[in-house]
Formats: sequence, C-alpha cells, structure tokens
Amino acid sequence: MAAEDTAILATRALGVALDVVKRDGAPDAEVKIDVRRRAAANQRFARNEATTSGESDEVTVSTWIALGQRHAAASVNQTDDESLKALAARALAMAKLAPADPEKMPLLGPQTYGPVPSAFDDGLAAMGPKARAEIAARAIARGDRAKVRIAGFFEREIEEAVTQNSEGLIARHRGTSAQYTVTARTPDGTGSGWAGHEAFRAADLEDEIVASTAIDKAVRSAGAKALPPGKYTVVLEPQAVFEMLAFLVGQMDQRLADEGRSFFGGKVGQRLFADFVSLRSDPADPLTPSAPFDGEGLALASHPWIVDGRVNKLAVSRWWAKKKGLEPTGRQSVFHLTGGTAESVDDLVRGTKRGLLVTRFWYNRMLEPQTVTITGLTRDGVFAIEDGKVTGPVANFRYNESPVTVLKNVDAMTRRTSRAIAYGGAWHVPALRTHEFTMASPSAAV
Amino acid sequence: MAIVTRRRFIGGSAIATLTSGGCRRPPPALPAAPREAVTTEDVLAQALESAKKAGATYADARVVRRRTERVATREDHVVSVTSGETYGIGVRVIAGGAWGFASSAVVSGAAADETARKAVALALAARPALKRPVELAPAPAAKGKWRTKMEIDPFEVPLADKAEYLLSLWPLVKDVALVKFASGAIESLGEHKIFASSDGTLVEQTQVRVWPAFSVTAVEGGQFESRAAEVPPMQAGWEYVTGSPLKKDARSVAEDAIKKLKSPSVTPGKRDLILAPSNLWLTIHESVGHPTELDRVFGLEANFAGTSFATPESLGKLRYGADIVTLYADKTAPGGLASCGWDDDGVATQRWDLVKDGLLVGFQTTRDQAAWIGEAASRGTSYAQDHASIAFQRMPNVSLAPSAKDTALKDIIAATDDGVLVTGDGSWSIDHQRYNFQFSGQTFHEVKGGKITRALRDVAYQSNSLEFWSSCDMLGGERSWELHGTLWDGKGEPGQSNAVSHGCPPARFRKVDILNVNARGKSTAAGARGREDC
Repeated sequence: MAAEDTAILATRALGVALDVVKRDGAPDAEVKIDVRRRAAANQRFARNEATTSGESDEVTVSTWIALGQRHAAASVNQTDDESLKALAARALAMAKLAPADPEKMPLLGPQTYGPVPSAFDDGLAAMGPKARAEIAARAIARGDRAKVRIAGFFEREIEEAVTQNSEGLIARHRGTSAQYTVTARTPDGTGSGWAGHEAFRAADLEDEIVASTAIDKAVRSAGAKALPPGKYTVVLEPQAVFEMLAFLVGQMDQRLADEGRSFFGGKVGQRLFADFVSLRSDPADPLTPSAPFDGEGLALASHPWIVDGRVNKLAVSRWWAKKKGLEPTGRQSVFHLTGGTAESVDDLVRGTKRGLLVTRFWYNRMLEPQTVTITGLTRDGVFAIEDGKVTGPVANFRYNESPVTVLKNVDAMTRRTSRAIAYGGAWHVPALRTHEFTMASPSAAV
Repeated sequence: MAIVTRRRFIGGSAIATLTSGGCRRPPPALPAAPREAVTTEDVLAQALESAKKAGATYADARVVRRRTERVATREDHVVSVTSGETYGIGVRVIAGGAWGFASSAVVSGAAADETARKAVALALAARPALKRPVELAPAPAAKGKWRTKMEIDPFEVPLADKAEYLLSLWPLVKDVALVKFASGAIESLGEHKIFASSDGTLVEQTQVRVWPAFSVTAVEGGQFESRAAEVPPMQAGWEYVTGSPLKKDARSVAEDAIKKLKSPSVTPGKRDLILAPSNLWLTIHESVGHPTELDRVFGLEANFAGTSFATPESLGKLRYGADIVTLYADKTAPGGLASCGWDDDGVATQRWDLVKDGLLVGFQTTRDQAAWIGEAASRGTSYAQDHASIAFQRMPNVSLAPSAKDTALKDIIAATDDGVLVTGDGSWSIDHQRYNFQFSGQTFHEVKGGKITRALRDVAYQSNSLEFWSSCDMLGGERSWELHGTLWDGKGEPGQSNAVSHGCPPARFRKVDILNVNARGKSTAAGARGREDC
C-alpha cells in the first residue's frame, strides 16, 4: 500500500481538526499539526552471526489545539479520517480541561526558511534487507578471520517531518540516515573495541572501516593494565567528546541561567574556554544538513554559542524571549565544535608526554549540575600514551569530570571533525587533548 | 478489505477469560484465516498462516494498542497536556533458522499477509550471516486473558482532575522559605495486546501503569538544590495516585530541599551505608537485574548495553552476596510494573530465584535462550514495547527478599555506629559489565551512635556489585519491604523501553566508599530522574 504524502496528510489533518473545532463552536481555536514519518530498517548481529532484523514504517500525526491560554496535544499513528477526527476531538477535549498556561505562546505565522542542502539520499532510501545483511556478513567474516567475538547494529532511517498550523505556517523536511556501530571482543574477554559511523548518504558508508577499527581496538586493548585513579592528560576521540558536550549544551539555556539554575548564570560574554574553541549550530551546514525549523515551526538560523572560547549566547525559548525582550533561538539539534588545527588523533598523541587515549564513554549521567560535573565510564579501548606514543592498553576508569573543565583545559583539537553517534540530533566534533581530567575510580569492566 | 479499527479492537476479543492455570490445558485450535479478516483474531490467524506459507517454521503476531498520557505542571500552572496512541500489528517469524520482524499500523487481513511475508523475507535475507539456527524451548500453548487489577482506569479520569491534583501541591510548598520552583507530572501508560503464535497460544492482556511525580527546587545565593518525592510508578489505577502520600509529604519534600541547601558537605571515606527502599531499588536494578539478563551474559547486547560479569559457568558457584541476600525475579508480583500473565513469547509468567542465600542460581531467559544454560523451558521474560518493536529478553521485576525478622529501618539505624542513610534515587551510573557503580540519592543523613545526627549533602556511594552485596549485613523485615521502579528501562538496538519494579526492605552495607561529589567546594544538587535508565 503506497503511503500518503506527508504534506498532503498534514493538510488533511489540519482540515479535519479545523472542522472539529468549528463544529464545536470554537472557530478561533489555534491548531497545529505535526506529521512525522519514520521508516526504519535494521540488521543486528552478535556472537559472530545475525541475531534479529526488522522493519517498521510508522506515521505519527500530532494535533495541538489551543483555546486562549489552554492547550493540549494528542498523537496517533492512524491516518484515516475517522482517526484524525477522533484525534482532534481528543485534543480539543483535553485543551478544554487543561488549566490556562500563562507561558503559552501564540502560533507562528508563515516563516521564511533559509535554504539547506538536501539531507535525503535515494541510495540509502532504497537500501534493502540483502544489502543490510551483507554489511553484517562482512563484519562477521572479518571477526571470524581475526578470531574475535563481534557484534553490531546497522540501521537505516527515512524521516519526514511536516508542521502546519492554522496561522498559515507550513514547514517540511525529509532526510535519510544510516547508523552503524560495531563492538569486537577478544575470546578471553580481556580486550574490547568499538567503532561507529553515521552518514546520510549511501556513498559515505564506511562499514569495512568501522568493523576493522573495532577489531583492531579489541586486539590492541587485550590484557590492559590497571593504572591508579587520578588526574590525567587525555586525548578524547570524537565520540567521547560528544558524550561530554551533550551535557554542556543542556545547561546553555537563558531561562535556567536567569533563574539561577544553570552553571551559565551571569557568564554570557565571559571567556570560559580555551581561546580557539567555538561551538555553533547551523542547520545548513553541509556536513549535517537538517530541518531549518524547530517543533514550533520557528525558522532556525546559524547560532554561535561559543566563539573563540567566549560564551556568546544561550538558547532562548519564545516565551523567555518575550519576557526578557530577547530574540528566540529555537530548539537547535545540530552542533559543531571547531577551532582545532591538529591533523589527526596521531598528532594529538605525538604531542602528549604522558596521558591516556580514550575511545568513548558509557552510562554518562549528570552528577552535579552547578558545575556540570558528569560521571560515567571509559569503554572499548583506553590506551596509555608515553612520550608521544601509544604504549599499551589501560583498564577502564570511572570519571567524574565537567565538560566545562574539558574545554577550559583543552590545548589541541583536530581540524577535521567527525559525526558522532548521537542518538538524535547531529554532532560534528573533533578529537581533542585536555588536561587534569579526573579518573575517579577503577572499573574492572572490559 | 476489512480493517480492524482501533475502536473495534478496544471492544475486546472473543478470547475466553481463564485463570492462569488455563494455559496448561490443551488449547483450542486458532481460527483458520478467513478469506476476509473481520476480527483481531482473524487478522492474527492470517499473519500466522501467511508466515507459514512464506516459509516460516515459527511465527507469532501481536496486535497492540499503546497509550501514553502526561499532565505536567510547574508551580501554579499547567505546562503541558499530552497524549499519544499507537496501534498496529507486529509479526515475528523464524525462517531459515533466523529471526525476522515487520510491523504495520494497519490491522487487516491484507496488511497481516503483507507484514508476515515481509518478516519472512527479512529472516531469509539474514541467512548468509547466520551460523546457528534459532531453537525455541517448548512452551505449552496458552489461552486466556489478564489485566491490571484496578478500580479506576486513569485514562478515564478527566485531565482537569489530574491537573487539579498536581496544582494542589504548590500551595503546600510555596511558602517554605527559599522554595522557588516545583514540577509535577502524572504519567499514565496503557497497553492492550492480543498475541497469537503458531504454537497455538492466543492471549489477551491489558496493563495500566501510573506515576505521580513531584519535585521542588530551592535557590539561595547562586546555589540550588532539588528534592524529588519518592512515590514510585505502579501497575495500578487512579486510586493509587489519590491514595499515595504525595500530598501528605509535599511539605516535607520542600523542607528537605532547604535542609539539603543548608547542610554540610559529606566527608568522604568508608562508612556503613543504610539504603532505604526508595534508593536501593535502583541499585538492585543495575547490579542484579541487568547482570542476570542472559542475552547480556552471552554477548547479544555487547554492542550497546554491554555484557555481564556473570557467566553461564558461574551458575550455582558465584558468591554474589552475603548469606542473607536472596534476590528473585517475579513477573507475577501484584503492582509490579513488569507483571503480566504471559510474556511476548506466550510463556506463562513466574517467580524464581536469581540469587539464593548469596549464591547465583538463576538467569532471565526467553524461549530462544533457555537451552543455552541447559534449561528445558523459558522463564518468560520476552517483551516488546509496542507493535512496531521486536520482542526480546527484558527484565522482569527483580526484588530483594526481606529478613524473616521484623526489623525496621529504625532498628538498622539504631544498630549503626558510623553511617550514612540515603533515601530516594539520584544520579546513577554503572559500567558495561556491571562491576563499578556510583549512585547518589535524594536525601542523605549522618548516623552516629545509632542515631540520625544531621542532614548531609554532596553524597554518592561507589562500589563493585559483588563486593557491595557481600557487605550486606542487615535487612529489614517484610513490613518494611516496598516496591519501587521505573517506567523507562532502556535496552536493545533499536532501543526499547520497559517498565519494571524492584521490591526491597531497607538494608545496611558495611564499609562502602562514600564520595563527596562536589570536590570544587560549591553546592550540588541531586539530579531529578531522567527519562530512561539503561
């Protein structure tokens, strides 16, 4: 059964909802429709063989209705007229029952969206189960040859998003993406390596490199020696950099800062980080093209959050912008950390007298929001660096550290950035070297 | 084409209601797939027949309606009212020895046929990457119904009542000095599922879960502290919310936030650790629940959630904890978030020991895993979060058995010379083989000479799972046992969410590393619970 075009579906859902509110005697009700289609297909493998494979293609329609300051939203994955009518009726009933929200903002009218490069790739969209299984089979064959235990996950997604509202706003975006991660472990359980890659074009898939990197790390990390907890110079690979920075941007909110609930309170304009560090969002960046609008349909512009180590601005919601006389930034989901000049991770290692090379972190959680201190563990490849050379594997640590300190103490980053496995949003980050990184306790995990 | 709409599905199936013992009777044959499916059972039968025709050696199909609703408030106003619903069919097959899965949001005979054939094609495509064909442990065919015991369906309660309940909390706390912010939410989660398998099982289940949550933040001089209430989510009706101590405790929750803000920072070091059930449940979840998942043990989660320190060889040999420690899995526990009649393999749920008198004696299994440890039958722990997700091994309710003595928390405190009492859950993190963990909490108190002497702040405890459980030397009795849990335990690729409970009494652990998480000499705040645990 051919799926209905999501834009046509959004128009239909809006018409149904407007009819429902009109019939109910609320012709002035505000209505917003969000249609999201996500077609996902995956192949999972472990123990050197395929484990599960699956496909789903779901369309979700969300209807938001506001009666003055009262508002509510409901969603459903059924798209027939009867379901859309029931959906609108439910949202309306919920809005009537919801108490007034003083922070509710009026709907946006038509917006002008800047051009963004295409994020949709026909090759990736057409990728079938055979091709996905072949990726797994190639990794498994490599794992067999290297005599390691190999596991991995490949997922291809097609996503379409349409937002339409009763004020005439229409926003539409579609994209493809593929995420591929591999973990290899030595049979004796003393070595583990990981690699991951995310791309939005089939031509950019590097599945053989991902598998061989994971295997290489597993073999090289076997028989790690334990080092004492303490402060270390660390070279963080891009995935580890992303995992820390994700907590930083969560705190970069103007309202939280103004209310005294964020590390960034009173710090806009201050130079908190190394003077070559910059962090920005730009939906039009060709490395990570994404929707030029947020969930409210607000046009997203390029925003520099950190410029040359100085906090340039914080995220501002529409409500807070109105209250404080600021410009709203919208909810951004693309982040790029830039400013490095090193050619490679090897360069960072070469410039390190004594330190640790970290592949990635795991189970990262906010420990202390006032200083944005995070806890988590190293995983799948930690290596000692001595006199500019990787000298051998090191056992895992629990860390307790702040991304603020990471970017303050950083002294080098790679010029080239990589797309991290970000589980939502898009992050392009470099590898970096930073100092006084707190490894708090040893972990026996491999 | 006849479509079984969500409305018709809600009307219920023709499956007879039987007791759980009914699953052991010889089942009636599934209805043959009709030319045009008109009922949910027809659609399921069509899926199974189409899968078989396409080459499946086993198939199961689930028609699932999943509902979520959230009413959220901030101080004196509502900030969001949202609801979501998904409905559709998921078909899982074994073909050529491999698993394949596909789903459709359309519930009709034609969609079931197409979805089943797609699932078979996916399984067959994976054959080149397969070495050992999937083998299922036998399971008696089941037929019956199961539903959450409740008086008032929370989805039938007007939203205004929910909002009013939450908004009634702000007046109770707003005049507590330094309290600036409060957040409240009522989460409701419902699942209605009809499952059929080619082994003859046909069961219908309805699960409803609710969670009233509330937290307060106090701010003073650039410092802030938050305190979340300790009312857990439960598989229950609205009466659980109105009968909860949330209103009664709201003011003391606010006062705790102030106390945290003004209390001294903990001095780190090895101390005796007393954990209230509202904290210990999460430690059980991370250090016992996940390590005993057999898919982790065998490396199926190696690429994401990780593996486990527990091995098949260690079954019956590994000293997991002190002699007084018995931990059991129970997917039948009343109110337990993971409780149901049958799992998503169609296996009747049960209770069994994971750790008995300190020894590792069991794992969590599904039909395709039982034989890996020489067991003849599955423990019934298969679950899929919705129609569009494949079922796989998920954690049942895992709980700590109470002491046979009638020990209370006050008795444990009275018996402790130098310790720290932790209640509520805070920041939590554990390594990918489940050795090293570090947890915080909501409130912390110093215990000296058998008495609580003062509140503390900046506390976390860090240990190794086996050392920790071996250091357990006091347990509360049955009357002190409480059920806590989470609605959002994450696992798998693609990621899925599972609701799961953990019951426990208060317990004491000797000489555990207490950390000061605020080494910079500034204030700290225990984080509010996130959306998902791993």
